[in-house]
Amino acid sequence: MTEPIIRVEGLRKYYDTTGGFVDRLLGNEQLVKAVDGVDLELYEGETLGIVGESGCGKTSLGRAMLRLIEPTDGSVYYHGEDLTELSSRKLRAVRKDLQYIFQDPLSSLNPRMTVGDIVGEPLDIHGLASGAERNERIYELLDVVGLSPSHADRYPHEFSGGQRQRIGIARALAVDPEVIVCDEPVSALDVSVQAQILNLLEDLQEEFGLSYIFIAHDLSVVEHISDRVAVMYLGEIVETGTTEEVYQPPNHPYAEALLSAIPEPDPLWDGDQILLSGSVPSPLDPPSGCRFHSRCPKIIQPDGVDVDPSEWRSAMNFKHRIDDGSSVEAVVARTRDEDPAEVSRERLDTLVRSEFDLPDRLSDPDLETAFSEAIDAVHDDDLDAAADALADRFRSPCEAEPPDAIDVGGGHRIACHLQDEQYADERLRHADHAD
Amino acid sequence: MSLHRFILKRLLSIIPILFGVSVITFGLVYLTPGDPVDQMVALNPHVSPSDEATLRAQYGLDRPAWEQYLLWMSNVLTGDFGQVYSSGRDVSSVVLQRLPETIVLGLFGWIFALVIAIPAGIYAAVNKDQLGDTVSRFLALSGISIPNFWLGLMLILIFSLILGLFPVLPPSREPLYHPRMLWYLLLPGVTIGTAAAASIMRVMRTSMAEELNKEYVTAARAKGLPERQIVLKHVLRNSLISVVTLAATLTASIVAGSVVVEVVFNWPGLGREFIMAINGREMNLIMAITLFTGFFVIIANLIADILYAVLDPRIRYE
Amino acid sequence: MTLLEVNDLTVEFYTEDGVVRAVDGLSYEIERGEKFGVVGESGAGKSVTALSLMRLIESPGRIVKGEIRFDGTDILELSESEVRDIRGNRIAMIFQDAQTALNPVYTVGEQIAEAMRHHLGYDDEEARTRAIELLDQVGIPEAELRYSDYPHEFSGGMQQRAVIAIALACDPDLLIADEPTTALDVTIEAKILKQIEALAEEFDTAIQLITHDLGVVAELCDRVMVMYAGQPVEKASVEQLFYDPKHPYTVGLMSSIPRIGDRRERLQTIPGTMPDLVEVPTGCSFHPRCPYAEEACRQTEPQLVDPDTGDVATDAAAERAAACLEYTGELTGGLDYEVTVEGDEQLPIGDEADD
Repeated sequence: MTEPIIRVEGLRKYYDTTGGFVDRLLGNEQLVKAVDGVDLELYEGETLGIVGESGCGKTSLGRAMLRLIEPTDGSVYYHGEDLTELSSRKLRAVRKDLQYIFQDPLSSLNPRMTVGDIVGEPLDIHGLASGAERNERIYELLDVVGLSPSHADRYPHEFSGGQRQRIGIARALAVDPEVIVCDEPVSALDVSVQAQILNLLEDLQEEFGLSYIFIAHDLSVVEHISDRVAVMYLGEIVETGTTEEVYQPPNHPYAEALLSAIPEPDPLWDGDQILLSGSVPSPLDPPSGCRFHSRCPKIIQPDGVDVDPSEWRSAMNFKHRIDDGSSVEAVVARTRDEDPAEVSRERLDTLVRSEFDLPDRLSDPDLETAFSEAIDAVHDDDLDAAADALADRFRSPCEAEPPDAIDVGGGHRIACHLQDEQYADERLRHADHAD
Repeated sequence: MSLHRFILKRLLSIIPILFGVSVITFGLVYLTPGDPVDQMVALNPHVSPSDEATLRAQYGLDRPAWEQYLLWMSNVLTGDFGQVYSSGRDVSSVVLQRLPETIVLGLFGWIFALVIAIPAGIYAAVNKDQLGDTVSRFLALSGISIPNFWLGLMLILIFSLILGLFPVLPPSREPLYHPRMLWYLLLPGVTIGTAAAASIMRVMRTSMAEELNKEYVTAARAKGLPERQIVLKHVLRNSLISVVTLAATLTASIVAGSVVVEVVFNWPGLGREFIMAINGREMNLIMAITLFTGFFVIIANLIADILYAVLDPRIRYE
Repeated sequence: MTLLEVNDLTVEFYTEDGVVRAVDGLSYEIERGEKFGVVGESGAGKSVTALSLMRLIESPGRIVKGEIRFDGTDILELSESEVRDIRGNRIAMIFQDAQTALNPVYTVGEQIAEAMRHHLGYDDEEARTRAIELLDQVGIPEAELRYSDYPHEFSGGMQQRAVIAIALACDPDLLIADEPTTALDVTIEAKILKQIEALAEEFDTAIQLITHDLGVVAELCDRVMVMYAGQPVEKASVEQLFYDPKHPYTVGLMSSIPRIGDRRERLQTIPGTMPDLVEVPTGCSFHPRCPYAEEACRQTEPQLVDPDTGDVATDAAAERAAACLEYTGELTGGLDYEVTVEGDEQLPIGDEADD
């Protein structure tokens, strides 16, 4: 393969949310790890899709790549030159080739500038055209994105959402860039208009030989426009590959869940949706080991344990709740008729099992013993003791070690322990289970 | 926990602020032509130049500015605010005697402002662009535009001289806690509170009208709650947040307003004393009054910040 | 049994630019326990329809015509206090943006409990316990502790769940869900849709789901109405709509969404944008964007008709209707599209294409 046009290595962006100077002195630093060690390549003329849910760090990644925000660590090589090392003067020159399109066209367009001036501004900044030539170029750009030259004298608020996004695109194109980072360019638009913009982006790519980084949360849009896709979760890339590879098994369990969750516009479609337990953990304090382990339906079982994957997931959910909780109510909610702090040991057992969807007896005797001890402790309102009782048996290798990105063939990389030969048996279990 | 720490931090920050206030005030008074001895001489032409020098030496007025300041400062740190040059009384006793008068007047002005402004603001916002709203907005604009010395004089003219409802000057003033003082407080209190009432009403109206357009109000209506409950429970608390911001700054203007109002109504508070102190170049008295009022304004701001946290759970001080 | 019957509902807004007819002659009905979808893009009049049902249209908007029969009584005829007894009690609403729909200065629990205290006469303790139960039911862990959290302490998904809990508080007969999952990520969306479906089933609640997302409609709804520029353009069962759409706008909408596993190089688009409602195009309001538009479309405003017989079908009870001149024989060129279904599913209806 040829050299990539952009190569990102170990890129990190941390936001400091520490209260103040005093807290910093006391070592109470709070870092939001928005982007945490990302490696990526963008090849010439391709579209690299970056998908992930809100808060996964995809926007920070896009901005840190162009140094619109200053990365904390890592390198971004553009034609072999490290952008993170450039002086601001040199960076300004390079910026001509690297453009950014924002999600919300209205807030990124200066309301007091005419469309012509918005599109012409980059020409002025980089000294590309002036006078009649500048106007000529503006009209040409407006035409390219499907607006008419007469629009040049109007203001952004006079346009519809789709047209504003066209203005944003025209502005990005003005400097004849090589790479455009598109940050959710169509998510604020109606579906019929969204299709128009997607088609326009594709036409422009062909016409001008552009390379796109396309950031979005909508998997079907990303699939449609991308040649290659990277899936992000909590600041990390969990899977990269060509679009075909990423949208088909084998997958990272997170990518698999994302794909399964999209509501298909087909009333008779009856795919199995994978519903993830819990919600996305805070990037202030991401889970240890594999960051997805706290929600992963395929979390690996330790040596000597062999139970149904969903039972194991439920068991781990119970453990996490015990670890994080402070009282019985944190484990089982109080209802109108029952206060879990008051009920008998037997009743509590039943309540917990139904809350966490656990069977009447865990299928592994050792797990059942540990679980039973934990319930005793919860009944005594001693959650620390309950956590201790579970610590030994209820644990997964996924909690211990962060997975490496493993190449499963042709550059398709998946950062999941299941892809590790060491856990080949585990893969079989899920394959069996799926049948 | 964190609120306590926040309060403590803010209280500690009073020290440097007051230090700054004292330096600036001292500088300004020092640069003003004339000193207390000049004033005394003006009143008593028999003082000889050598007596003048002796007096200056006695008060330390012949020393360089920085020395005078340091001397003053070291005394203040031991709790001694010095004497009033002309009368020889302790500055602190003068201030303590006048302070309650001003506090009572200011509080009365505040209560008047809030009692008028908040209901009026709610009314105007709920009936936005209708007659009542237009009338109350006109009144509010007038309230802001009328200078308070003029308002005070007009009130005296109408209510005391023409209608005879209030004494122009109380024949004998009762002690401050006497119930009849409420009657005497009415005109100066209204004068001092009018501008604040007008500003608060305007902010209340704007912020309430803005809150009324928010989706949570539609959501509350969709719950079937009565409009009254929606306005007084859901919307009021949210709109008060911006009123608190304004109230903090208004405290300073009420304090400033008290200077003029106390003179107009011959109210024996700190403001009137302050005017006399400036005329007599009474450095010690000026410094003490400035520091005290500065202190109260800072405390008012602190209370506003605490109120924020009470009203809005999203605000946390860390 | 019919729970809701809307007849000829017309809502106008009086703006500086002129009168905007946001909803124009809308008629439909929803059965008890039924899940009814209202689909369209922004400006189609979906949300205005929803607010009208609870008579929450505010100045400068006004319901100028029509009737909204809920369980036999016309909501538009009721006194203000009678409407309030229905709001939040028998008809409840799930708002699109939970973050703005929750009052930031009151606890989530309080916001659930207040409607119950008001409508059901619960005392503080009863309302609190029931609110905690509801929080638990909509899938918020540690409901008891979360009761006294403020909205900003909830994640986006949890806020949406809280808004659902508020809507369910008084066990309504009709739940209006206005884009309930649009602000959410797919994994959360899937869970919340399942939840709404299960809860509606459990309480036998009818749902009017308003959305622009055809995927969500396909997943949840029994019947669908497609709206364009304030007017209904097609009514159908969900299967009919997806496998046998009759209106060119419906067809355009469906072909403009990219789908997983779809190998199309280019997306079909509907050119242009939704018209400004101050100046709705003459004739069929969709004609400037319609690939099959003819001269007749500029002249004649199509009515909702039964696409098979061409009979007028504007009444609320009409199950299948489309507003296109094609079905009254006024088009010469016909509608030239074809529906193809990928995969090996059996079509419920014969695969048919008009030409």
